Amino acid sequence: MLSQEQIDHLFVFCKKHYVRYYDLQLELVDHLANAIEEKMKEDPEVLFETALQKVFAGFGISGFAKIVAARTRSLEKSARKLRWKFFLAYFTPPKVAMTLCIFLALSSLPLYLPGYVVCLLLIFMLLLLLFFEMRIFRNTNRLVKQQKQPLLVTELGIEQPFLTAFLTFQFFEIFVNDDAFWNQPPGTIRLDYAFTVFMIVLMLAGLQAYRDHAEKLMVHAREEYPEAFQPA
Amino acid sequence: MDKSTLYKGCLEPIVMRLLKDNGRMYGYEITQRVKVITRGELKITEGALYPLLHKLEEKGVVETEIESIGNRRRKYYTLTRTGKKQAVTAMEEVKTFIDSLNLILNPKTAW
Repeated sequence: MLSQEQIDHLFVFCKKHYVRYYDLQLELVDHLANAIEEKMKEDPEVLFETALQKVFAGFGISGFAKIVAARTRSLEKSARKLRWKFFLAYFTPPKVAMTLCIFLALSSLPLYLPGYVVCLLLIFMLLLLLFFEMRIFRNTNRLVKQQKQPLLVTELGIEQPFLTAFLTFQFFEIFVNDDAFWNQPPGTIRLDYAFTVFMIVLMLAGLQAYRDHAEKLMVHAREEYPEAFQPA
Repeated sequence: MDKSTLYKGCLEPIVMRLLKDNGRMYGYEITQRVKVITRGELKITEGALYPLLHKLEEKGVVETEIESIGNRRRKYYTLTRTGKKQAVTAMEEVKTFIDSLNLILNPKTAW
Protein backbone atom coordinates (compact mmCIF):
# COMPACT_ATOMS: atom_id res chain seq x y z
CA MET A 1 0.00 0.00 0.00
CA LEU A 2 1.33 3.43 -0.91
CA SER A 3 2.14 5.86 1.91
CA GLN A 4 0.11 9.03 2.57
CA GLU A 5 3.04 11.05 1.24
CA GLN A 6 2.98 9.12 -2.05
CA ILE A 7 -0.80 9.55 -2.35
CA ASP A 8 -0.39 13.31 -1.77
CA HIS A 9 2.30 13.31 -4.46
CA LEU A 10 -0.20 11.71 -6.88
CA PHE A 11 -2.70 14.51 -6.21
CA VAL A 12 0.03 17.06 -6.98
CA PHE A 13 0.95 15.06 -10.10
CA CYS A 14 -2.67 15.24 -11.34
CA LYS A 15 -2.78 19.00 -10.69
CA LYS A 16 0.47 19.43 -12.65
CA HIS A 17 -1.17 17.57 -15.54
CA TYR A 18 -4.10 19.99 -15.65
CA VAL A 19 -6.61 18.03 -13.59
CA ARG A 20 -7.61 20.81 -11.22
CA TYR A 21 -10.92 19.33 -10.04
CA TYR A 22 -10.87 17.21 -6.91
CA ASP A 23 -13.72 14.90 -8.04
CA LEU A 24 -11.65 13.84 -11.07
CA GLN A 25 -8.34 13.74 -9.21
CA LEU A 26 -9.83 11.32 -6.68
CA GLU A 27 -10.61 8.68 -9.31
CA LEU A 28 -7.33 9.12 -11.20
CA VAL A 29 -5.24 8.98 -8.01
CA ASP A 30 -6.85 5.67 -7.06
CA HIS A 31 -6.21 4.32 -10.56
CA LEU A 32 -2.56 5.45 -10.57
CA ALA A 33 -2.03 4.11 -7.04
CA ASN A 34 -3.44 0.66 -7.96
CA ALA A 35 -1.32 0.45 -11.09
CA ILE A 36 1.84 1.61 -9.25
CA GLU A 37 1.28 -0.94 -6.47
CA GLU A 38 0.92 -3.66 -9.12
CA LYS A 39 4.18 -2.57 -10.78
CA MET A 40 6.00 -2.51 -7.42
CA LYS A 41 4.65 -5.98 -6.61
CA GLU A 42 5.91 -7.35 -9.94
CA ASP A 43 9.32 -5.74 -9.43
CA PRO A 44 10.06 -4.80 -5.79
CA GLU A 45 13.20 -2.96 -6.91
CA VAL A 46 11.33 -0.42 -9.00
CA LEU A 47 11.16 3.11 -7.60
CA PHE A 48 7.83 4.85 -7.00
CA GLU A 49 8.63 7.67 -9.42
CA THR A 50 9.71 5.25 -12.20
CA ALA A 51 6.53 3.20 -11.72
CA LEU A 52 4.46 6.39 -11.86
CA GLN A 53 6.03 7.47 -15.15
CA LYS A 54 5.43 4.01 -16.65
CA VAL A 55 1.78 4.00 -15.56
CA PHE A 56 1.23 7.55 -16.82
CA ALA A 57 2.69 6.57 -20.21
CA GLY A 58 -0.19 4.07 -20.47
CA PHE A 59 -2.62 7.01 -20.66
CA GLY A 60 -1.24 7.85 -24.10
CA ILE A 61 0.15 11.10 -25.51
CA SER A 62 -2.89 13.13 -24.46
CA GLY A 63 -2.36 12.11 -20.82
CA PHE A 64 -5.41 12.97 -18.72
CA ALA A 65 -6.72 15.56 -21.20
CA LYS A 66 -9.11 13.18 -22.99
CA ILE A 67 -10.61 12.02 -19.69
CA VAL A 68 -11.08 15.59 -18.40
CA ALA A 69 -12.71 16.70 -21.67
CA ALA A 70 -15.08 13.72 -21.76
CA ARG A 71 -16.05 14.19 -18.11
CA THR A 72 -16.75 17.89 -18.71
CA ARG A 73 -19.03 17.04 -21.66
CA SER A 74 -20.94 14.39 -19.65
CA LEU A 75 -21.41 16.67 -16.65
CA GLU A 76 -22.57 19.57 -18.83
CA LYS A 77 -25.22 17.32 -20.34
CA SER A 78 -26.43 15.94 -17.02
CA ALA A 79 -26.51 19.45 -15.47
CA ARG A 80 -28.74 20.63 -18.33
CA LYS A 81 -31.00 17.59 -17.97
CA LEU A 82 -31.32 18.00 -14.23
CA ARG A 83 -32.07 21.72 -14.46
CA TRP A 84 -34.78 21.01 -17.05
CA LYS A 85 -36.22 18.34 -14.72
CA PHE A 86 -36.44 20.87 -11.88
CA PHE A 87 -37.98 23.42 -14.25
CA LEU A 88 -40.71 20.97 -15.26
CA ALA A 89 -41.18 19.89 -11.64
CA TYR A 90 -42.16 23.48 -10.84
CA PHE A 91 -45.23 23.18 -13.05
CA THR A 92 -47.55 21.19 -10.80
CA PRO A 93 -51.28 21.83 -11.57
CA PRO A 94 -51.81 24.39 -8.74
CA LYS A 95 -48.65 26.28 -9.74
CA VAL A 96 -49.64 26.24 -13.43
CA ALA A 97 -53.04 27.68 -12.48
CA MET A 98 -51.41 30.34 -10.29
CA THR A 99 -48.85 31.23 -12.98
CA LEU A 100 -51.62 31.51 -15.57
CA CYS A 101 -53.67 33.78 -13.29
CA ILE A 102 -50.66 36.05 -12.65
CA PHE A 103 -49.90 36.15 -16.37
CA LEU A 104 -53.51 36.99 -17.33
CA ALA A 105 -53.81 39.64 -14.62
CA LEU A 106 -50.55 41.34 -15.59
CA SER A 107 -51.03 41.14 -19.34
CA SER A 108 -54.52 42.65 -19.13
CA LEU A 109 -53.25 45.72 -17.25
CA PRO A 110 -53.15 47.89 -20.43
CA LEU A 111 -56.91 47.39 -20.69
CA TYR A 112 -57.45 49.46 -17.56
CA LEU A 113 -54.33 51.58 -17.15
CA PRO A 114 -52.61 54.15 -19.37
CA GLY A 115 -49.35 53.15 -21.08
CA TYR A 116 -46.98 55.06 -18.79
CA VAL A 117 -48.41 53.40 -15.63
CA VAL A 118 -48.01 49.97 -17.24
CA CYS A 119 -44.44 50.90 -18.17
CA LEU A 120 -43.65 51.89 -14.59
CA LEU A 121 -45.22 48.67 -13.31
CA LEU A 122 -43.12 46.68 -15.76
CA ILE A 123 -39.96 48.42 -14.55
CA PHE A 124 -41.00 47.46 -11.01
CA MET A 125 -41.49 43.81 -12.08
CA LEU A 126 -38.07 43.76 -13.73
CA LEU A 127 -36.44 45.19 -10.63
CA LEU A 128 -38.22 42.59 -8.52
CA LEU A 129 -36.95 39.83 -10.82
CA LEU A 130 -33.43 41.27 -10.70
CA PHE A 131 -33.56 41.36 -6.89
CA PHE A 132 -34.77 37.73 -6.78
CA GLU A 133 -32.04 36.71 -9.23
CA MET A 134 -29.27 38.48 -7.29
CA ARG A 135 -30.45 36.93 -4.02
CA ILE A 136 -30.34 33.42 -5.51
CA PHE A 137 -26.87 34.00 -7.01
CA ARG A 138 -25.56 35.41 -3.72
CA ASN A 139 -26.82 32.34 -1.83
CA THR A 140 -25.34 29.98 -4.43
CA ASN A 141 -21.99 31.77 -4.32
CA ARG A 142 -22.00 31.44 -0.55
CA LEU A 143 -22.49 27.67 -0.95
CA VAL A 144 -19.67 27.42 -3.51
CA LYS A 145 -17.30 29.39 -1.25
CA GLN A 146 -17.67 26.66 1.39
CA GLN A 147 -15.70 24.41 -0.95
CA LYS A 148 -11.99 24.34 -0.25
CA GLN A 149 -11.15 22.48 -3.46
CA PRO A 150 -12.79 22.93 -6.87
CA LEU A 151 -15.28 20.29 -7.99
CA LEU A 152 -16.22 19.90 -11.63
CA VAL A 153 -19.66 18.62 -10.67
CA THR A 154 -20.59 21.84 -8.84
CA GLU A 155 -18.76 24.23 -11.16
CA LEU A 156 -20.70 23.06 -14.21
CA GLY A 157 -23.99 22.73 -12.36
CA ILE A 158 -23.87 26.23 -10.93
CA GLU A 159 -23.10 28.33 -13.98
CA GLN A 160 -25.02 31.55 -13.58
CA PRO A 161 -27.23 32.64 -16.43
CA PHE A 162 -28.12 36.34 -16.31
CA LEU A 163 -31.71 36.05 -17.41
CA THR A 164 -32.77 39.55 -16.44
CA ALA A 165 -30.24 41.05 -18.83
CA PHE A 166 -32.17 39.52 -21.72
CA LEU A 167 -35.49 40.80 -20.37
CA THR A 168 -34.17 44.30 -19.87
CA PHE A 169 -33.03 44.32 -23.49
CA GLN A 170 -36.50 43.15 -24.55
CA PHE A 171 -38.07 45.86 -22.39
CA PHE A 172 -36.02 48.63 -23.99
CA GLU A 173 -36.74 47.28 -27.48
CA ILE A 174 -40.48 47.52 -26.89
CA PHE A 175 -40.96 50.55 -24.72
CA VAL A 176 -38.07 52.93 -24.96
CA ASN A 177 -37.71 52.73 -28.73
CA ASP A 178 -41.46 53.05 -29.15
CA ASP A 179 -43.01 55.95 -27.26
CA ALA A 180 -46.46 55.08 -28.66
CA PHE A 181 -46.82 52.60 -25.81
CA TRP A 182 -45.89 55.20 -23.17
CA ASN A 183 -48.66 57.52 -24.42
CA GLN A 184 -51.16 54.76 -25.11
CA PRO A 185 -54.62 55.22 -23.50
CA PRO A 186 -56.21 52.27 -21.64
CA GLY A 187 -58.04 49.69 -23.75
CA THR A 188 -55.46 47.98 -25.94
CA ILE A 189 -53.37 44.84 -25.29
CA ARG A 190 -50.15 44.62 -27.24
CA LEU A 191 -48.70 41.24 -28.10
CA ASP A 192 -45.10 42.28 -27.37
CA TYR A 193 -46.10 43.47 -23.90
CA ALA A 194 -47.94 40.18 -23.18
CA PHE A 195 -44.86 38.28 -24.38
CA THR A 196 -42.57 40.23 -22.01
CA VAL A 197 -44.90 39.51 -19.08
CA PHE A 198 -44.97 35.83 -20.09
CA MET A 199 -41.16 35.75 -20.14
CA ILE A 200 -40.95 37.35 -16.69
CA VAL A 201 -43.26 34.68 -15.26
CA LEU A 202 -41.34 31.89 -17.02
CA MET A 203 -38.03 33.24 -15.79
CA LEU A 204 -39.29 33.25 -12.24
CA ALA A 205 -39.93 29.51 -12.65
CA GLY A 206 -36.51 29.10 -14.29
CA LEU A 207 -34.79 30.83 -11.37
CA GLN A 208 -36.56 28.60 -8.88
CA ALA A 209 -35.39 25.56 -10.88
CA TYR A 210 -31.85 26.94 -10.88
CA ARG A 211 -31.95 27.46 -7.10
CA ASP A 212 -33.37 23.95 -6.39
CA HIS A 213 -30.80 22.36 -8.71
CA ALA A 214 -27.86 24.25 -7.18
CA GLU A 215 -28.92 23.37 -3.63
CA LYS A 216 -29.35 19.69 -4.50
CA LEU A 217 -25.97 19.60 -6.23
CA MET A 218 -24.22 21.09 -3.22
CA VAL A 219 -25.85 18.63 -0.80
CA HIS A 220 -24.80 15.76 -3.08
CA ALA A 221 -21.25 17.13 -3.42
CA ARG A 222 -20.91 17.44 0.36
CA GLU A 223 -21.97 13.82 0.81
CA GLU A 224 -19.74 12.47 -1.98
CA TYR A 225 -16.64 14.61 -1.46
CA PRO A 226 -16.57 15.76 2.19
CA GLU A 227 -12.77 16.29 1.94
CA ALA A 228 -13.32 19.01 -0.68
CA PHE A 229 -15.10 21.06 1.99
CA GLN A 230 -12.42 20.66 4.65
CA PRO A 231 -9.55 23.14 4.94
CA ALA A 232 -6.40 21.84 3.18
CA MET B 1 -4.38 -4.49 -37.88
CA ASP B 2 -4.63 -2.69 -34.55
CA LYS B 3 -6.64 -5.00 -32.26
CA SER B 4 -8.03 -2.15 -30.19
CA THR B 5 -9.81 -0.80 -33.29
CA LEU B 6 -11.64 -4.12 -33.58
CA TYR B 7 -12.71 -4.08 -29.93
CA LYS B 8 -13.64 -0.40 -29.80
CA GLY B 9 -17.36 -0.80 -30.59
CA CYS B 10 -17.70 -3.64 -28.08
CA LEU B 11 -16.27 -1.79 -25.11
CA GLU B 12 -19.65 -0.64 -23.79
CA PRO B 13 -21.27 -4.12 -23.75
CA ILE B 14 -18.06 -5.58 -22.24
CA VAL B 15 -18.10 -3.10 -19.34
CA MET B 16 -21.84 -3.57 -18.83
CA ARG B 17 -21.46 -7.35 -18.78
CA LEU B 18 -18.65 -7.17 -16.23
CA LEU B 19 -20.71 -4.91 -13.98
CA LYS B 20 -23.71 -7.22 -14.34
CA ASP B 21 -21.65 -10.24 -13.30
CA ASN B 22 -19.62 -8.62 -10.54
CA GLY B 23 -22.08 -6.19 -8.96
CA ARG B 24 -19.87 -3.20 -8.37
CA MET B 25 -16.40 -2.48 -9.72
CA TYR B 26 -13.90 0.38 -9.88
CA GLY B 27 -12.02 1.58 -12.96
CA TYR B 28 -8.70 -0.15 -12.42
CA GLU B 29 -10.45 -3.40 -11.48
CA ILE B 30 -12.33 -3.39 -14.81
CA THR B 31 -9.13 -3.00 -16.84
CA GLN B 32 -7.46 -5.84 -14.92
CA ARG B 33 -10.47 -8.18 -15.07
CA VAL B 34 -10.65 -7.79 -18.85
CA LYS B 35 -6.93 -8.50 -19.13
CA VAL B 36 -7.25 -11.68 -17.04
CA ILE B 37 -10.40 -13.02 -18.76
CA THR B 38 -8.96 -12.48 -22.26
CA ARG B 39 -5.49 -13.72 -21.17
CA GLY B 40 -3.96 -10.37 -22.06
CA GLU B 41 -5.48 -10.36 -25.55
CA LEU B 42 -7.68 -7.34 -24.85
CA LYS B 43 -6.38 -4.30 -22.98
CA ILE B 44 -8.79 -1.52 -22.13
CA THR B 45 -6.97 1.80 -22.04
CA GLU B 46 -7.71 4.36 -19.33
CA GLY B 47 -8.36 6.97 -22.01
CA ALA B 48 -11.22 4.85 -23.35
CA LEU B 49 -12.58 3.40 -20.11
CA TYR B 50 -13.14 6.51 -17.99
CA PRO B 51 -14.92 8.58 -20.69
CA LEU B 52 -17.17 5.54 -21.25
CA LEU B 53 -17.92 5.10 -17.53
CA HIS B 54 -18.70 8.82 -17.22
CA LYS B 55 -20.97 8.67 -20.27
CA LEU B 56 -22.83 5.69 -18.80
CA GLU B 57 -23.20 7.58 -15.53
CA GLU B 58 -24.65 10.59 -17.34
CA LYS B 59 -27.11 8.33 -19.19
CA GLY B 60 -28.24 6.77 -15.91
CA VAL B 61 -26.94 3.31 -16.90
CA VAL B 62 -24.55 3.19 -13.92
CA GLU B 63 -24.53 4.85 -10.52
CA THR B 64 -21.54 5.53 -8.32
CA GLU B 65 -20.55 5.41 -4.68
CA ILE B 66 -17.30 6.53 -3.10
CA GLU B 67 -15.64 4.61 -0.29
CA SER B 68 -12.50 5.11 1.74
CA ILE B 69 -9.92 2.38 1.13
CA GLY B 70 -6.95 2.83 3.43
CA ASN B 71 -5.47 6.27 2.76
CA ARG B 72 -7.39 6.94 -0.44
CA ARG B 73 -10.94 7.12 -1.77
CA ARG B 74 -12.32 4.77 -4.39
CA LYS B 75 -15.19 5.30 -6.80
CA TYR B 76 -17.31 2.20 -7.47
CA TYR B 77 -19.67 1.76 -10.41
CA THR B 78 -22.88 -0.31 -10.26
CA LEU B 79 -25.52 -0.89 -12.94
CA THR B 80 -28.83 0.84 -12.26
CA ARG B 81 -32.11 -1.02 -12.83
CA THR B 82 -32.27 0.47 -16.34
CA GLY B 83 -28.61 -0.43 -16.82
CA LYS B 84 -29.28 -4.09 -16.00
CA LYS B 85 -31.98 -4.24 -18.67
CA GLN B 86 -29.71 -2.47 -21.16
CA ALA B 87 -26.88 -4.89 -20.39
CA VAL B 88 -29.06 -7.83 -21.48
CA THR B 89 -30.02 -6.05 -24.72
CA ALA B 90 -26.42 -5.04 -25.38
CA MET B 91 -25.21 -8.65 -24.99
CA GLU B 92 -27.89 -9.90 -27.39
CA GLU B 93 -26.84 -7.26 -29.92
CA VAL B 94 -23.18 -8.29 -29.62
CA LYS B 95 -24.11 -11.96 -30.13
CA THR B 96 -26.11 -11.11 -33.24
CA PHE B 97 -23.17 -9.05 -34.49
CA ILE B 98 -20.73 -11.93 -33.89
CA ASP B 99 -23.08 -14.34 -35.73
CA SER B 100 -23.27 -11.96 -38.69
CA LEU B 101 -19.51 -11.59 -38.65
CA ASN B 102 -19.17 -15.38 -38.65
CA LEU B 103 -21.36 -15.59 -41.75
CA ILE B 104 -19.02 -13.21 -43.55
CA LEU B 105 -15.81 -14.81 -42.34
CA ASN B 106 -17.00 -18.41 -42.81
CA PRO B 107 -19.45 -18.23 -45.74
CA LYS B 108 -19.66 -22.06 -45.93
CA THR B 109 -21.39 -22.30 -42.54
CA ALA B 110 -24.18 -20.12 -43.87
CA TRP B 111 -25.37 -22.92 -46.18
